[in-house]
Parts: sequence; structure tokens; C-alpha cells
Amino acid sequence: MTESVTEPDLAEETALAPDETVRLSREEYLAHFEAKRGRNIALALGLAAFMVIVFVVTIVRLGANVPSA
Amino acid sequence: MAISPALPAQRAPARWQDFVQLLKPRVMSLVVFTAITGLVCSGQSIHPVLAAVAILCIAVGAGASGALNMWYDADIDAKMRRTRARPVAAGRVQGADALALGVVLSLFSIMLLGMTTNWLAAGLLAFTILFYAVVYTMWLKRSTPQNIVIGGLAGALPPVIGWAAATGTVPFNAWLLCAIIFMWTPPHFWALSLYTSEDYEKAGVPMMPVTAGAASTRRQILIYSLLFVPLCIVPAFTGLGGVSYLVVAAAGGLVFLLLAWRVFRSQAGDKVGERNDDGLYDVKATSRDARNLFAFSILYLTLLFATLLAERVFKLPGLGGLT
Repeated sequence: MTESVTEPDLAEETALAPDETVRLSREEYLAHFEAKRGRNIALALGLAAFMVIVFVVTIVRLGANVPSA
Repeated sequence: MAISPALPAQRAPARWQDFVQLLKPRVMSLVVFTAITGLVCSGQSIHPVLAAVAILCIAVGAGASGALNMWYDADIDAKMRRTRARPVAAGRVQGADALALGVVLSLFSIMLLGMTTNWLAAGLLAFTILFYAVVYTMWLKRSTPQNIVIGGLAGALPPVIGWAAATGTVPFNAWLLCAIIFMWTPPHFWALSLYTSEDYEKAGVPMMPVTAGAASTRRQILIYSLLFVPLCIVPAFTGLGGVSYLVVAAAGGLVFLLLAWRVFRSQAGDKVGERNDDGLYDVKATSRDARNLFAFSILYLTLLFATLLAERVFKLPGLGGLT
């Protein structure tokens, strides 16, 4: 599996020229895949939590302005 | 973006746990604890959901400033034993990713805190993040031995933010909590730096023992301790703390002064290589007094704030005062 590296920052950090590529072994590819999946799941959970928090805060703050029956 | 040559090339892929490490969870837990104390001590009733979200925002804001700190200080972190395993310094997370995380979390936490509670609290959180990331990290840390004295304000503000989140105001007692943490920071950090100055020197960070020497640092630890301990007693007479607080502050303060005196009389920091390899508390005999003060300072601050919390929660008797 070959992965292109083109971003200038990444190239600088890994000491690669912008047009160079990195060849990953199967184990390295799997490790990258697992790490990326974990990051994506964590990001999704974070965004979902943010949505829930905004919704709940909105309800609570709205509720505080509604006179009790 | 300039990347220090000291940084290793990225090898292992960044896991989500590495991004959690960027937020400095241990520092975050102290921030949460002091912010809760400020919020509870305000005496203002606040909806539990709003209180929980306010504390979450303060914690995330603190974490964001930690990520910004690790982004900017990666070159320093890579040279010091205590910090070289941090995600950016170790090459597990790219600096640009840490910067992006810090900026995004800062904006989200400030915005959400403003919408949830009030904009005074949000403004204080924004100031705290900016002060820590820009004033302390980018300027003071590399330029003056007073770095942790002035920079300590960032760590001292969370109880004020908690108080402001609950009430929309910041009265004297809120600033008193801030002042206690502010005055606690120099003896706490300088005790640690007495036996880790070798690392700071190698990294080019002008910590007090590096620039002024160990003897001067020990003297300043004693002076700050003499100012800090009486300040800890004050809340008992302003209505913030009660009888239990007075007992804890006075008894713990005496121990603190005793340990500071021992550091003053010791030879801690006179020699290099005072620290062994097994963590932050494993030091050679000459630096034990400094290590003991460092460890006790954490316990003392925790006890002070825990007592204030307990007095409010269990409605223990007070001595009267401003509130």
C-alpha cells in the first residue's frame, strides 16, 4: 500500500520531499487504519455530545423563561 | 510553520488517546475541582445542567490551552524528561493538529459558556486561555524567571470563572480564591524546579534556579510561603470559610511553613542530577526537602478547597464575614 505525502508541513516534519511517497507495510497500514477509525469515532461522539448539550441547554434556558401554569 | 529540528519525524499513527493527552487531563482535573469550588462557594443556586455544562466548558477551555501549549512548546518538551513523552514532542501528533484542536476547542468552550451562563464568565475564560497560551507560553516562559509567578494567574482564574458562571459577578471572595492559587504557584513550582533545573537548563527555559541559582530560589520559596500561608487564613474571616476551614488552613499552613523552612536550610538544587528516573517524586537525599514541599503543596491546596466545598455542601458553621 502506497500513501502519497504532499502537504508541505508533513513533508517538513517527516523530512520528505513533496513528491516523495511512503511505502507502508501491512501492519503499519492496519495500525494507521485502526488509529484513523478511532479518531473518526471519537470526533463523531464529540460532535454528537455537543449537539445534545446545545439542545439540552436551550430547553433548560427556555424553560426558565416560561411562567409555570 | 517552523518546526524545531529537535522534533522527531512522525512514526506511529496518532490515536484518539493522544489527542486526549494534548488536553493535559491531570491539570484539567485540578481546574475542574477549583472551578466547582468557586461555583459552589458563590452560594447562588444554578440549574444543575447549566452548572455541569459550565464546568465542562471551563475544563475544555483549560484543555484547549494545554493543546496550544504543547503545540508551541514542542521543542522545549522534547528536551525535558518530564515532558518528552507528550504527543507533539514525541512525534505522535503533528503540531498543526494540536494547534487546530486548541483553537477549535477554545472557540467552542467560550461560545458555549457564554450561551449557557453569561458573557462575563465566557470573557474570563477567553482571557485565561489567551493569557496561558500567548502571555505565558509564547512570551514569559522563554524570557523571564518570573514566568511562573505571572503566568500563575492563568491557573488561578478557574474558581473566579466558576463564581462568575453562577452569579454573573466576581466579588472579593472570588478574587480571594484566585489569590490563594496565585500565591501557591511559586513555592509549588520552584520546589519542583529545584530538582529538575537540569532539564530546564538543557531546554533553555529561564526557571528561577537556572538564572538566580538554588540559594536564591530557596530564599524566595520561603518568602512566598510566608505571604501565602496567612493569605490562606483570610477566607475564614470574610465569610468564605468556616471553623473547619480555619483549622485546616492554620494546621496545614504550619506544616507548609515548616517544609519551606527546611527547603531554605537545605542544599536542594545545589548539585545537578538530583532526580532519579522513577517519576517526579524519586529524588536523591539532598533534594528530599524540596520534593516534600512540592508534594505537600498539592495536598494543602486540595485540602483547602475540599474543606470550602464540604462546608458549603454540609452547611458547616462559619465565623461570619463579607457574605
